[in-house]
Amino acid sequence: MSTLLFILPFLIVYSIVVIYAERKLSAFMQDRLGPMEVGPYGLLQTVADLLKLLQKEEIVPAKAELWLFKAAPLLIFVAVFAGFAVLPLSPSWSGSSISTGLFFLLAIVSMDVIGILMAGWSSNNKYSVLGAMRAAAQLISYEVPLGLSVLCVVIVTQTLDLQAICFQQGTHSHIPSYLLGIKALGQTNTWGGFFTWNVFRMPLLFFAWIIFFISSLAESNRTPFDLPEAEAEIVAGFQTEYSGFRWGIIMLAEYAMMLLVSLLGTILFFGGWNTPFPNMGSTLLLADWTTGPVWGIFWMILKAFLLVITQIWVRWSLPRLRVDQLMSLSWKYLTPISLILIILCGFWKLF
Amino acid sequence: MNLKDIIHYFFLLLAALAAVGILMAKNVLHAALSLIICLLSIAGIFVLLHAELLAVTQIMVYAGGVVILMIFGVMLSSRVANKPLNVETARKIPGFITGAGLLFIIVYALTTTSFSLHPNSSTPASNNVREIGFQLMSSYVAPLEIAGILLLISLIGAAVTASFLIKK
Repeated sequence: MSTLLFILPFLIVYSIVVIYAERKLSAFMQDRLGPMEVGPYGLLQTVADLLKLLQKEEIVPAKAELWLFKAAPLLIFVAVFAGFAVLPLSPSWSGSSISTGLFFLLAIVSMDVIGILMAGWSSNNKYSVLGAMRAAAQLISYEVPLGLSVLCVVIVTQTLDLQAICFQQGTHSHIPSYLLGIKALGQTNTWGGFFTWNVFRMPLLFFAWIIFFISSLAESNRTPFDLPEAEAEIVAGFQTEYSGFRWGIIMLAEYAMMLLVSLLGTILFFGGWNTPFPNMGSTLLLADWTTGPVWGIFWMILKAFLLVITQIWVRWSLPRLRVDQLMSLSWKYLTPISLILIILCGFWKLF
Repeated sequence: MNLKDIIHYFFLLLAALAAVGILMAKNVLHAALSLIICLLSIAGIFVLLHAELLAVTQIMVYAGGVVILMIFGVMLSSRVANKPLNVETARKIPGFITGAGLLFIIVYALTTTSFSLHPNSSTPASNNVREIGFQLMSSYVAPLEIAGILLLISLIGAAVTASFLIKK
């Protein structure tokens, strides 16, 4: 329960910060200034936008299916928000500690496509229906490589509990972890720091992370995979008819999804709440000094923010994919590669 | 009656109402949405019975399955063209008889079977994922593999059917 009390206020603050960061970063990449007028350096621009959004009139199309139309954004947000319940935040703050945490997260997040379909269909608009169909096709396809890349991590860590996965990647672990996964190079348990992160314990997982990152971009409908809301082709996709507060909820769900997949990537591949600094010798115990309840939240959120910024960076660098390219990327490249990675991880675990 | 029981009965009622909703719905998409409510309530009941893995599998498998159903619903019931595909409740009496017969068989089987715990099983452990995994890959490996091959056959069949259509 206490995770909820932290995550909900944090999400609001996070989305205000990240929307500002996204606008500033895109401005930087396109050699513009970005928001400059409201507050120093335009810092209050998102707050002003949010206030404007909340007072806007909410328009429901006359021929829309009223209840489905109104419920759909909430369903999208609830599906994404429920995923946060199982995330561990620090060594002593483990979220909802169910043993199937990772499986639950993937399952509940896949529910948001139902909300998207509801939104698109109930709007009674060609572009909304097209956007919703694209979203459904895309989300279902990219769940396959996403699940398979997560499975690589599960094979290595042999648990579905996210807190247990975090513990394995630090100095608290009782499972021996070797430098780059090779026993001859020596054990790194007492070193801690980035040496015990999954990508260093098991270098193959770095490639699994690349697949995870690409599919998580598609799962959160971000460019280059934003076909469901391709503004040049289908106005704004499934959210065309939404306005005001409900549109805000859809956007909040998108940004929450970005944070969720970043936090999940952090936990699975980059050590979760573990510090990046290793212990050096017996005097310079950087790992032990920088581990603790508050440090845990700090590292976790810092790493997740770096991944979110990478997502923003990708968004403003790459053009949008075409539908057939989208499908062939998922089914002809990512899925076979992740299947091969699973076999390799299994053999690695055997020897 | 504590809170857990109330939630339990709430999910049971919701599942039953949603099931009636599937039958009553005139629109294919509404029926699909009722179906997802029904399946999710059953997942909720599984959670209350400490069957976590089963509950999550229920959400994972059926959410995806119902989405496919909804896509068909959207394609068939194009609201944009103002020609919604409406389904009617036909053959009420044979349907009712079949349903009542099925209900009778299930109730009869439930009342005459004595449910006892498996001799080897202990109290429901919180972490039974590992145990289920070991059981699936050792004692029950044949059903698992047969199900896997069946799914593979259907996948290849779908791919072959699709490519056949493209060639034509």
